[in-house]
This record gives sequence, C-alpha cells and structure tokens, in this order.
Amino acid sequence: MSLVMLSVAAILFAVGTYLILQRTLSRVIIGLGLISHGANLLIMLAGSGPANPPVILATETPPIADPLPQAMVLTAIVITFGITAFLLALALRSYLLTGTDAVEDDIEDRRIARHGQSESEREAAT
Amino acid sequence: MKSTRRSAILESGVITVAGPLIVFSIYLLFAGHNQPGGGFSGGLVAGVLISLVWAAGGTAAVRRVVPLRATLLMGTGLVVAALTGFASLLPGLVFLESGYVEVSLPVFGDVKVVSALFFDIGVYLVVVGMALGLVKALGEEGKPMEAEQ
Amino acid sequence: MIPLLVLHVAVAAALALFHRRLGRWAFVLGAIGPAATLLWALSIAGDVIAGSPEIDSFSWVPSLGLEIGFRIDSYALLFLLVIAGAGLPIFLYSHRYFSASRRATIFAATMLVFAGSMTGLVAADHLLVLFVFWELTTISSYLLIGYKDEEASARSAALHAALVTGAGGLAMLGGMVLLAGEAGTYVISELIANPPAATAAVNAGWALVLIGAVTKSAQFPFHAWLPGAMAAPTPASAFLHSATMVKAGIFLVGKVGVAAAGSADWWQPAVLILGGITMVIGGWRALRQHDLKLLLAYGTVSQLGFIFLLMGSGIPELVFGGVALLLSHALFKATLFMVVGAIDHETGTRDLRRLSGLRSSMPRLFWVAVATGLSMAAVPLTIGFAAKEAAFVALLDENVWWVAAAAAASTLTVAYTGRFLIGAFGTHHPDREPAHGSALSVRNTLLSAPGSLALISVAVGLIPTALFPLVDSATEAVTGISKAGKLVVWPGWVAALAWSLASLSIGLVLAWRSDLMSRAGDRVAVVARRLPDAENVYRRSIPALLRFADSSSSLLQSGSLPAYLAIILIVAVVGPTVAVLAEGPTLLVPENGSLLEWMLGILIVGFAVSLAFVRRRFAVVILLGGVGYGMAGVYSVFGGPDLTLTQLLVETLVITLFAFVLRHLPATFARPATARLPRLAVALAVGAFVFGAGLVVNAARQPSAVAASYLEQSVPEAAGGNVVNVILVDFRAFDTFGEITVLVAAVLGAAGLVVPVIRNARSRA
Repeated sequence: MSLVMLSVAAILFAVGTYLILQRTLSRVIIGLGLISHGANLLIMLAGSGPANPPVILATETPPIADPLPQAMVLTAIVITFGITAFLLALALRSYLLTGTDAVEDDIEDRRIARHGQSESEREAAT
Repeated sequence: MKSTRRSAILESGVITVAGPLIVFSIYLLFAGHNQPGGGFSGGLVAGVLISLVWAAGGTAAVRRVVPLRATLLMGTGLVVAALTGFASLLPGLVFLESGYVEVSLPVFGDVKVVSALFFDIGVYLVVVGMALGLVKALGEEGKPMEAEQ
Repeated sequence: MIPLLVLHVAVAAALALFHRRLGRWAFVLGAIGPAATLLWALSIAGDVIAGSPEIDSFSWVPSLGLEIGFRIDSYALLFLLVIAGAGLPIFLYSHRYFSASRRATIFAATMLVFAGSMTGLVAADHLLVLFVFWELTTISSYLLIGYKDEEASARSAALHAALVTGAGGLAMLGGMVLLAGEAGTYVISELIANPPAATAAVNAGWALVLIGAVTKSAQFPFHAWLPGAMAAPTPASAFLHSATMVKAGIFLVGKVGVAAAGSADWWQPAVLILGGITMVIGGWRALRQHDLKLLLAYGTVSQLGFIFLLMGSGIPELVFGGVALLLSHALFKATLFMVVGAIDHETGTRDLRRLSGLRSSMPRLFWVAVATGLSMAAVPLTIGFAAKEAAFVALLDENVWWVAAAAAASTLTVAYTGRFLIGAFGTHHPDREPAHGSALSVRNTLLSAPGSLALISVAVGLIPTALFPLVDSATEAVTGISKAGKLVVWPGWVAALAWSLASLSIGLVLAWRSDLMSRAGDRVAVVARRLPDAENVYRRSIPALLRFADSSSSLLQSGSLPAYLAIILIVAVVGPTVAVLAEGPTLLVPENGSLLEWMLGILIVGFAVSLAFVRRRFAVVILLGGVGYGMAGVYSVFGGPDLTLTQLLVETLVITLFAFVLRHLPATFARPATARLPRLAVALAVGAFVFGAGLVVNAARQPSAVAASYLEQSVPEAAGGNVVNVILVDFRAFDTFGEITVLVAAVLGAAGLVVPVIRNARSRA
C-alpha cells in the first residue's frame, strides 16, 4: 500500500465531510461523491495495489490484481451513480418547489428541542 | 420547440459517432466475459450516447431516436436477469449459477455460450433503461423559476 | 407445559372477547387456568419429587439454536403448586369480591395472563424465556395495580411498580447476556451446573441479575413500590403482591444462589445484608400502619427479606428453611389479604382505627384470621413455626448475629400480627356502633376461599412432616444436598427454640402495650425523617429523569441536519479510535508509491480541495469530473480496466446529470450558514481517522483465500477469463441482481420526484 494513495483517500474523506456538513443540497451531493471515491480507493488499497488486470486469457504475468475488491468497487461506482441521480432529483425538486436547495431544520425536531429548553428554563426560574 | 438551440455541428457529430458507439456498446456486452467490459460498461456507453442525443436535440430528439419507455427497458432487464437465475434451477444448479454449452457457428467457429451472458444482457438493459429514464426526467425542458418573472 | 400456557392465553382471550356475557362469572371461568396447573402439577409431582424432572421444549428458531425450553424440577414444582394453590381460591374469591362490570372481566383476563406468565417463569430453562415471562408478569402487574385508572394515585403506583421492576428486568437481561456469553450457554440448568469462573464480566453479570431479583422481590432499597402496589384490588394484592410475583426474585436467587455464591465471593454477604435490612425495615414500618392492607404489605416486605436472604445464600441448610418459609408465607399471607378484602368489602373500610367489634359480627372470618395469623407470628403448632425453627437452626449454625437479626425481625412480626388481629377484630369503641352499622355475616365465597387455605395451613402446621418431601426435594434440586433440615411440630429444647420463644414473648408484650410502641415509634420517626426515604428518593428522581431527558434531547435532537451528521461522524471516529488505541495497534509501514501514483494523487487532491472553496456551480461540475477522471486513472494503475472504463462512463453521465440540474439553480452557492471552524475540525478528524484506519486495517489483513479461488475457478467453472465480470454475473450474481433492482428503484424515484414538478413549472411559464 502506498502512502500517497492512502493520503488521497484521507483527503477525499476530509473534503467530503467538510462539504456534507452544511445545508446546500447540491454541495452535500458533491461531498457524498467525494466520500464514495475515497471509500472505493480504500477498498482498492485493501486489495493488491498496482498489478496486472485479473483477466486470465490476456495477461497471466504476476502480479495479478485481486479481483474481489474490483468487483465490489465496480458495484459501488454504479450504485453511487444511482444514488447521486436520486439526490440530484431531490435537490431539483426542493429548489423548484421552495426556491432554495438548502436543507431546513426539521420543524418537529425544533419543537421537541424547544420543549426541553422551556422545561429546564422554567425549572431554573422557580 | 427548441429549434434555435439545436446545433448543426453537434447534430451531425452525434450522427457520426452513433454507429461506432452502438457497435462498441454491444461489443463490450458480449466480450465482457473474457475481456474488460460487461453489461455495466456496455450499457453505460449506450447511456453516454443517449446523453449526446439529448445535447443535440433535447428530450424531443431522445424520444424520437429511442421510441421506448425507460420502464419497459428496465423491467425487461430485470425479468431477463431473474429468468436466467430460475433457468439455472432446471438442470439442478442453484439460483443464478451459470452453465455453458459449446456450439459451432459458421463464422465464429467453436463458441462457448455461457448462461451468465443472458444475465449480463439483463444488466445491460437495466443500465440503458436507467440512463434513458434519467436523461428524460432530469433533461425535461422546464423553465427555471426566475424565468417566470 | 406448552399446552398449559396456551390454555391460559386462550381462556384469557375468550374472557376478553365475551366480556359482555360473562360478567363476574369470568373469574370462575378463569379459575380453569390455575386449576389445570394444579392438576397437572399434582399429576407429575410423584415423579418430579422422586428426582426426574419433567422436560418440555419447543424448537422455535432451529437455525439460531433458539429453543423454548422448560424444565420442571421439584424446585419449580414447589412454585407451581404455590401459584396454582393460591391462584385457584383467589379466582373463586374474586367472583364474589367484584361487582359485575366490563372492567372486572378484563381484570380476570389480566390475572389469568399473569398466572400463565408466572407458570412459564418458574418452568423456564432458558434465560431469555425466563426474561420474557418475567417482563410479562411486570406488565400484568402494572395493569392490575392501575385497575382504578380514574385515580391518579393508582396510576402513579402502577407506574412506580412498573418502572422499578421493569428497570430491574432490563438490568437482569444485561446480566443474563453477560453470563451466557461467559458460560457459553443460555440454558439455565447447564449454567448452574457449570458456573463461569469469576471474571469482571461474570461479576457484573451476577450483580445485574441480583438487581433484577432485588427490584422484583421489593428488597431494600427498592422496597417502596410494594406498599404502593396496594392500590390494586385486594385479589391482585393477595395473588401477585404477596403469594407469587414478588416471589419471582426469590425464585431466581434461590435457583442461581449456589452457582453465584460459588463464582462471586461478594454474592453471599450482599444477599444477607440486603435481605437483612429489608426484613427489619419492613417489620418496623408494618407496626406503624393504620391501613390493614398496608400493614400486611410492609409485613410482606419484611418476610420477603427474610426468605430472600435464606434462599439467596446458597447454603443448603438456609435454603431449606427458606423454601419452608416460602410455602408457609404463601399460605398465611394470601389468606390474610383475602380476610382484609372481606372486611373492606363488608364494612367499607380497612382503617383499624375505625374498625371495631368485628369479632362478634364476623366470627368465622375472625377464626380464619387467627388461625393464619398465629402461623405468621410463628406460634408453636403452626407451619410458620416449623419453618422458622428450621431457618433459626440453620442460621445459628452459621453465625449468632444473623439469628439475632432474624429474631429481632420475628419480634416485630409478632407485634404487627397482634396489631393486625386486635386492630381488625377487637372492640375499641364499645360505646360506638361498629363501622358497618349492623352485624353482617360474610358471604360464603368470601369466606370459603381464605377458609380453605387456612385449613390447609392448620393441617400442615399439625403435621409438618407432610410437607417434608416437597421441601427437601426442592432444596436438593437447587443445592444438591438432601435432608438439609427438618420440619417438626416441636423441635425439643434446642438453642434455636430459645430465640423463637424470646422473640415471641417480647413481641407479645409489644403488641399488648401498643401505646408504648407507638410513642417510641414517634420518637424514632423524628430521627428517621432525616434519613433518605426510598419512596421520596423515587418521587424526586422521576422529575430529575424527565429533566435529563428533556435537556439531552434538546441537545441531541436539534433538528439541524449538519448537527446530526456531525454527531454521527464524531461517534464513528471516536468509538473505533478508543477501541484500537486500547488494544495497542500494529501499523503498516506504507511504501512511498510510484511517480505515476504521485501525479494522479496530486491531480485528484488539487481538484478535491478546490471543490471546498469554489462557489460557482458550473466550476464545481468540472472539478468533480476532474476527481472522477483522476480516479479512473488510479483504477488503471491498480490493474482494473473494467473499473477504469466504468468510472469514465459514469463520470460522463454524472456530469451530464449535474448539468441538467444546475441549469435550474442560481449560478453561485449561497454562503454556508454553519460555522466554518467546527466543520473543518470534524472534517480533519474524519480524514485523520481514515488515514489511521488504513494503516491499522491493512496491517491486520491477510491475503484472501476467496480471491485465489476465484482466480482459479473462473475459467473452468464459469468459462470466463475476465474474473471481475465472472464475479459479478456468476459467483456473486445474486448481489448484482440486488444492485440492478436498487438502480431501477432509484431511477423510478428520481423521475417521480422531478417530472411532475418540472412540467408544472413549464405550464405556469
């Protein structure tokens, strides 16, 4: 495993995290995309590292790459595509209906949070 | 409706690459078992072609060029994949386990026909349907809200 | 066993269904449950007492090895007899006690569910089965205590009982899981036969099980719920809160006592101290009550404490005494509760300051009360005496201080028994009319049920040896020792007798001079008020708990998505990090990487980092594409042509989709409202975590045998040279099938979300 690729995975995770921790939905989608790139890279790193393709009839000179992580990553790439498309549709719908693609606070949750505050404040006041 | 948007260069370019892309797409599907490729990448190539058609002529062009419903493609794909799985049960294999037969064809010579190929065709159809559905849905020419004012 | 449980549930369901027709007869019908248990228990009694337990099991989830196992040894048989023997008369008694109403019928159904749960509890041979029945008794007890649901006090008493016993039950479940994990089995008989060695987990497990038992049997410091539970109608109090449910904790400590005392050396002192404190506190509080039912309730607390310490000790001689006391207690306490119920029913009050002259107006009830009261006070020639003698003899062998404590509690018992009998039946106000106004005779069923139990009590008191086989065999079933004690009418002049007689005579004096007692009690009460009272502690802890819940949920459930994500990420980072650091990780020393890897890495990082700063949407699309194409290059270096191809094509489509969507949105992002620094901190923590995890995980990774076998089998098995494709469409084809199903769902969802909205926007334009 090479230092540079592990660092790349870590940075992809860090930037992705930074992007999902705010409210603009389209940026959140980009953040998720970066995180999934990072995760795919981690899976590949757990495999064999730089090697020849696991295609038996074409190349049989070792080292041959571990095919299992590749199959997993292939699945992950396509699934991420499906999820991204779905989230993009969600962001678009949110924008067309509300005029913003920001994720607002959950109203019910805010109500619960306020309930707790007012309870404890009332207790403190008496 | 969007005739002004159509670019003649783009249109003729798409027409030029469409044939090779379709061939490449189907090649990837059939070669995938032994060479790089497979149902996913083959289907995605067709998907890229669909997006090119959109770029040249919008959703109207996509509807004209591919007169199929995305749901039909995806549904057929799922059914084909599932039927392949159940077909494996007949010779006493487990669900989706593949078998193969060798046949002699006039041009290609001896060819191994693997049942997994039919599963991959199912995958291919689903991926093409997915690309078509997404391009049609998200590429719909709605006006942005600002345009209303 | 299983048909018996099904019978309980079926009859209970029938009662609930036909409540309109049945009225009070529901109780007579409900008596089928305990009657069937009684008959069945008697039919197997011979074999079981002789030493061959009745085993019944039902394979529930065979693939998980989950068996619903029942095993009735003579210890369980003893409890079955107590449950059914107390249950049957109480059901018949309830028939007269209640007036016909829909709720009374539901009450009957609930009592029956309880009887079934209790039967299952004592017969269970699987820890989790025991737990399920344990919680079922808690729930039915909650419903029965809260019977008068229009009264706030009844509701809060029910909640109190349910919270304390429910929390104890959860603690017990945790303990069971720990113990079963260490012992490698959930089967109780196997666990007891081979108790796990004392590790930290085993100690914690026994402690948690003990908490469960302590709460259920109302032991100090959780005893306050039991007097509160007297808000229940008297039949429920007689059945659940004296004869059976509160014995569940005792059942448990008796069952595991020998094993627990063997593997945890603190178990015995803990049980002895908790039981001892409960025994004295309960006796003292009983003396200070004016309500006959509360007096009996505190008396129950006291006696439960005594039985608890005997049974939990794990010492065969003490267990023998405990088993004997348990039987005698069930006989006299259920009877006395029914006597109080009859008094309450006929006179409308249970306050011994208002009752007067009942001896003449209810003579038969009086004699029933006296016969069982003497047994409670352990007067010679009663079963209570025989049992207590057995316990005293055993305690005296262990430690003279324990017998002194028990004698002190016995003294209090004698005193409150006197207070009960004199208070309920004595003539205090000769000038006044009795509280009920006129002489009444108690109706036959209200008398016959307690009367029959009293008769049994008297009979076994005169011939205690009749109970010996059962008591001895039950003791042997849990301790492995037979003939650990004796049950005799008169023990001869032994040292233990001196203690009994001393407590009896002092107790009589205390009962006689109750005025002195109450004055001394007032003085003690002034001092005791400064000590924390279990009930006050409970009452104050509930609002504190609610405040804690409020403040923690307003902190955690703020409604903000970034806050939620940050919490999740922080937990995901901190948890594994702590675990790994505690183990002392081995780190992989990475290679530097080739020049090609460096170039690709710099490219990807450059695109990715600028993504965090750019605010123009279309620039974002291009940068994202840059990252994706860079990744395709990395896959190529790693020997994945399929991945490269797929990544390139997917990235192209992703860019197209982003372009589709972003053309509707404003050209620049709004400035994020969330603070930048905390975001950066979490992001850096996640990045550092991933880096460390990569080093730790890959240091521990072994080359996978799966990959090798896939490479070998690809051509011969699947006739395919592209192993990655073969994995997708053959070896792991089921996964791929699931994946394409997800894709279809995602596309349908996306189209459904967007198409109507865009069409709508267009038609308005």
